[in-house]
Amino acid sequence: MPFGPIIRAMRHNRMRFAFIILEIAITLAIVTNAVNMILDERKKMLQPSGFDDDNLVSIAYQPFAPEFKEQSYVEALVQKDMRAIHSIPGVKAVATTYFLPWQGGGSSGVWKTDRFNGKFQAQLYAARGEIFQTLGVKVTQGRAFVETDTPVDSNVPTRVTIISRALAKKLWGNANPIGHVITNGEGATPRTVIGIIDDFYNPYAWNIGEFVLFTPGRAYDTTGAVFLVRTEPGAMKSVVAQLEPRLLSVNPGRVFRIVKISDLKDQYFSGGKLVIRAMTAIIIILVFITALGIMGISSLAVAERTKQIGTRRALGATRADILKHFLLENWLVTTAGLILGVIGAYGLNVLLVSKLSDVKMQWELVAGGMVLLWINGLMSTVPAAMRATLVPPSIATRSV
Amino acid sequence: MLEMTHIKKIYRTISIETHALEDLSLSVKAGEFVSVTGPSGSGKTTFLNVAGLLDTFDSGSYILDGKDVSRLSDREMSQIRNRTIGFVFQSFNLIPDLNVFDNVDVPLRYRGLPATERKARIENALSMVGLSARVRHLPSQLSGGQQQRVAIARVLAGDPKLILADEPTGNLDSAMSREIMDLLGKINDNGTTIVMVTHNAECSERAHRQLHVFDGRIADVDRPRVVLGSPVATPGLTATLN
Ligand SMILES: Nc1ncnc2c1ncn2[C@@H]1O[C@H](COP(=O)(O)OP(=O)(O)OP(=O)(O)O)[C@@H](O)[C@H]1O
Ligand SMILES: [Mg+2]
Repeated sequence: MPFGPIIRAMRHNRMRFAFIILEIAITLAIVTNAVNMILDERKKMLQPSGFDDDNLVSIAYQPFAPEFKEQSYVEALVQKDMRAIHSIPGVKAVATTYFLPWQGGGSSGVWKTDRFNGKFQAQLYAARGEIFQTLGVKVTQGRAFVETDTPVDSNVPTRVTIISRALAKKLWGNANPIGHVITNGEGATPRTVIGIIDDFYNPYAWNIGEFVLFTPGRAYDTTGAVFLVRTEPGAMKSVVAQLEPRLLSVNPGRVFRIVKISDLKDQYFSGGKLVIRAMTAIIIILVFITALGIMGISSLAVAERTKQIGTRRALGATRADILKHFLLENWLVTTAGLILGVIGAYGLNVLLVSKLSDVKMQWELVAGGMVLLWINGLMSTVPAAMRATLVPPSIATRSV
Repeated sequence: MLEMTHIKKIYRTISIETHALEDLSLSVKAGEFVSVTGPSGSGKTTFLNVAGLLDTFDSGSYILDGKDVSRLSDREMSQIRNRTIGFVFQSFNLIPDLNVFDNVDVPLRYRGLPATERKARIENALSMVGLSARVRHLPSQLSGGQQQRVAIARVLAGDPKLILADEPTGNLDSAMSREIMDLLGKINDNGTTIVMVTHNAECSERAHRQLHVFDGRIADVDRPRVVLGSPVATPGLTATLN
């Protein structure tokens, strides 16, 4: 392989090759990072929430009838409403809670506990009814809430809590968490852990998605209530159709809003989907532009060297030698660009990690990007290189 | 060395046919130095292209160095051009991006010679043309005469049996032309066959035999001249004039 003379000859066209090397380097750097972001978004989308998302629906009401001004009336009505929902065929479980998977509805707070150094962050949700059956989360240790866990007086704070396995593990390792006490950041309102749920993961809560405290509180008052309903698989449509009529027959003095959790999930990912679409477009455009650039440069290289190609043919180069010459030249340029691009890919990643995304660059991705751009470079040179092989040797004796 | 009989070459474009070579027959013996003259457009370059396997021909037969070369693949023709023939062009045809050393190296690489042998051949050839001190120069940094000497070194390094030259002094002044002709004469003295197309009468005089091309046919201009120390050929020429 005539590397030496090709490299020495290329030095005379430094600017042109520098341009294309830079273009390839930038493309590799951006493409690998774009793919990295796409993979990250996809990973987030594929991570299971731990809830029975497709079979969950929430229905909330806002009252306008005067009787809702009485807390005692609301207390009784919520019980009636829950029984009414339960009686709809295809309903598996129902609870009242502000918590909406993929959205939130609770609060996140700072907590303290025994045997754990310092404070920790976790989500907090109040719920009443069969909340864990509704979510599709199992109580793996201790017990679920019972009616008596909720204080009769709504101004009295709750005394018990059920937390996620991940939180228990973080706080007490493998020790038995049941009986431990969690207080708020100031050390007030102590709550005893009575049960552990698994798997709990609410993607909406980002880095504390796995850490949760449930309390047996009220998710309703004189201004309205929210019910979370779990249906049998396939029963969503018929249940949704009956929810409003059933509750209206209990009390018609209110308006309803129904939200399917699968819609919340789609909404939650709309940003991610946009990122994926934008990144895909960027990748396609960049690879295309690079291909065009290489095509242009190799076309120019062949066109302005017609005489030289003819001379080489006259001096004994076969068509294969000419093809090899141009492919090799391109290969050198592409490789130089890719080497620079690897540095760029990691550099850009470091920049992005501190600014935008939180994912480290995978070497497999960089390797894959290199292979893609190598092939891209080769394919883009082939047309011009093929044209070069068609230059007849008699060009060598042609004057001008 | 070179045996052409009834060679015909027609250039075809969509609108016109040009009969560039019309029944050309010619024989050149090994060791001869033959010059070819003729008016512009008479077919001299076409003849040289056919002789050098740079171009194909339409009919007739051509025996080169004892081998029928009328029906060879492109690959085989490339190989013969590379090993048997050396070309000297009017405009030197050096590769502008390569220095003197790499230029002389070009045909040797296509021959696949090992690096040490190539280096020895290149250095030897450059010293024969007196350019040993210019190996790192680019063609653009050399005079026309020097560039043509590099081209001749490129031929010498390949050690061909036949040299084909198309107006090798066409772009040079008379002093430089003489230099180049001296070189070619010396190379011929060492036994290499030379066929040279030229417009220059003085250059033509250097040859053993002067041929004239007219309308794609070839004719012997004068009797073969005896040059001391070189093998004298009986002209094996079948000339057909209109
Ligand atoms: N590639 C080509 N396509 C078409 N016609 C051609 C081609 N090359 C040469 N010809 C024609 O063939 C004829 C012979 O051309 P050639 O180049 O052999 O002449 P020449 O004797 O070398 O002339 P000059 O002294 O000007 O170099 C001319 O009429 C020319 O126009
Ligand atoms: Mg000519």
